[in-house]
Amino acid sequence: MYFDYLNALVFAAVGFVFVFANLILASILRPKRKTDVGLETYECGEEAIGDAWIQFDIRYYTVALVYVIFAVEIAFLFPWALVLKDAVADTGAAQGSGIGVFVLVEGFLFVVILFLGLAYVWAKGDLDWVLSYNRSTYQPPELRAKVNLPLVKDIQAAQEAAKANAPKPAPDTDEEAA
Amino acid sequence: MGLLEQQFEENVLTTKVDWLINWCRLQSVWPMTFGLACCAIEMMAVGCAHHDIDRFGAGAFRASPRQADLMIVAGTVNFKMAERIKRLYDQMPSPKYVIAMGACATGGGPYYKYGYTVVKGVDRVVPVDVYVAGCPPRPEALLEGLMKLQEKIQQSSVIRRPARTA
Repeated sequence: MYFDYLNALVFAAVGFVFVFANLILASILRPKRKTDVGLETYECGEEAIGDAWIQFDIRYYTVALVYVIFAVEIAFLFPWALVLKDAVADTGAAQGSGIGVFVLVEGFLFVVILFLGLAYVWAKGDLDWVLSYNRSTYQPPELRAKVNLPLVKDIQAAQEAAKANAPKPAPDTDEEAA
Repeated sequence: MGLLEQQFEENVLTTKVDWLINWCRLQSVWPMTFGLACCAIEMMAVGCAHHDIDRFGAGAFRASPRQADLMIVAGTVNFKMAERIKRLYDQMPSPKYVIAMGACATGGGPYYKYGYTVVKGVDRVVPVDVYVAGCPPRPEALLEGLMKLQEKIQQSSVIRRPARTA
């Protein structure tokens, strides 16, 4: 009876040998012309730049969450809409079930709950796709420039003053500018 | 060079082995998915049911040059694209073949005189095996180009030394 399994064994062995025999045969027969460009990473003909392990903005997860909610909503609403007419009119497949008005109200309740979620996300400011310009923390760029960055003419004036005061050239004007 | 590539004198055995290897190669010339201009529309027609390039074993358009044997340059080659074409050609494994499809890829076509962005023939960038005439060529013309390429592959010497030319 164990002899029956010999078929499977032979089959596996032939498959194993077949793969490696072909690999060896191909390595003997194929031309080997390797160039630096040929061994580059394939990037649709472009030069591959940088690392494949890039940092992805974690804040994108709110967008993904909102998308998932509404994708699931669509997936539920399509079958609901298919049976809705029959259920309300008490015809077809839903005849005699007596769930007409209940189905209608339930469907709208489902949509309203999800829209509450959308309103929450909207109020929280997660629908501003560029989150650094969130309305609650937004600062006009020119104001930040005035607060944080020294003007070029100030730097130049500081350099002139340092040059005038010191008998020898100022050691490093960059530190003052910073 | 490969281990056995062009290492043997021409005799009955090596000729038969070469014939077999070439037969295998020419029956599965996989092109790269690669279209540049209106000729690519004709190339798609060749891939579809009516003209059916699969009859020649060349219907598997690969999305990567690593798996492709044939580059059908279907369309106008401008200088910006020529750089990419060169890199894609280099990234294809040997043996590899190029078909220049249409007037633009063959010699600049209607852009020959005033097309300051157009390379006057893709053979200035990569070596071309078969030129297909037309603007754009009919699908039948591309099929004939493929058959010409298959004839060319059939004549190539794999393990025997190539015949010396005087």
